[in-house]
Amino acid sequence: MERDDITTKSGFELRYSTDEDAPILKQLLMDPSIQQWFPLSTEQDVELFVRNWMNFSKYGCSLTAFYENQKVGFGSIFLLPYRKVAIHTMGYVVVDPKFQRKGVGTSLIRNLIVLSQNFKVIEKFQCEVYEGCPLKSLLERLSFEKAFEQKGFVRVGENSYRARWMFERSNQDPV
Amino acid sequence: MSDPIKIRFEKSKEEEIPILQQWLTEPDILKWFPMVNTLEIEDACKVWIGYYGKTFGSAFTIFEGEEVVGFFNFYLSAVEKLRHQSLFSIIVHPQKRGQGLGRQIIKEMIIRAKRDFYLELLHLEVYRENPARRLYASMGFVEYGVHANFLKENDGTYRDKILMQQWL
Repeated sequence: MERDDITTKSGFELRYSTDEDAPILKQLLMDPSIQQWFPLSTEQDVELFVRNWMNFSKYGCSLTAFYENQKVGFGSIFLLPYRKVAIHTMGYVVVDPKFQRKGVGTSLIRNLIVLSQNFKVIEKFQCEVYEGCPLKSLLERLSFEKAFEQKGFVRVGENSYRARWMFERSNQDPV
Repeated sequence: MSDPIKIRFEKSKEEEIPILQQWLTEPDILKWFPMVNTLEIEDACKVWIGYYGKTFGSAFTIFEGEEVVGFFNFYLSAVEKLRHQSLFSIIVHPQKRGQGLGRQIIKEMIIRAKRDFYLELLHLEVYRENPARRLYASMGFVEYGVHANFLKENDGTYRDKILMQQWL
């Protein structure tokens, strides 16, 4: 249970993301405390990722969390292009550091799972996180299980790497 | 042991896309890939040669004389933190299998990965039933995970994806 859960308060709501959300999403992803958990390190990397994210928002795949009309978090599912593997979707979440540990991430992931269930073909919801990422405990609380771990996936410095952890849950499981 | 086939490696050109497409259309090859129809195969080939080949110069065509006998590609990342590692794909001419060509190509691919692309880690994804797993293992790739039920066939059966990698 997060301290000071704001998601039960009247000022909290989730809306489908629009192109107008891109600048704030970019701003958050440029924050080093957030960036450390993504494979991003330059403005160019971030712009590429945001562009990809916004492409999925056009298909109703992305949510923006508002608290008192302020954008405090973003979540999106990324769809896979080929039919045989379209049974999976990958979820991503970014929460403004000032609003972390207030239930925003949990709410975004729960709602992304529900959103993904609208795509009848999707059977599994996945989240790829990097070694040490605090999102791990949230995922475990929501019945995600680690499918595999790949050591050395992200290079964070000279001879320094982070593993990627692939978590997934069945879309048949109740949220 | 017969002499190795004399092959040469050239950067893939867009005009070779139809050859790759034709090979991938063969059911015995296609069954090891996630694509199911012409549209998906065309897209995969455009990504392989059209995008990675053009953007990174990381798609290669292998020739024996004037005949195309194989392709391989590093799926390099433009992202700084991921540039040290790469997923790769390899495909051998359907009529040239079982002659040691795959081994020759992988050997050269590992050399180029280090020398030309400064890669530290090479990884691959292969379906559990694919006999090429033995070749990868014999060339130093180590299984690091299994993605169970990764792929769903048209008949509803699932296939596991075996994940292997090698530090260079």
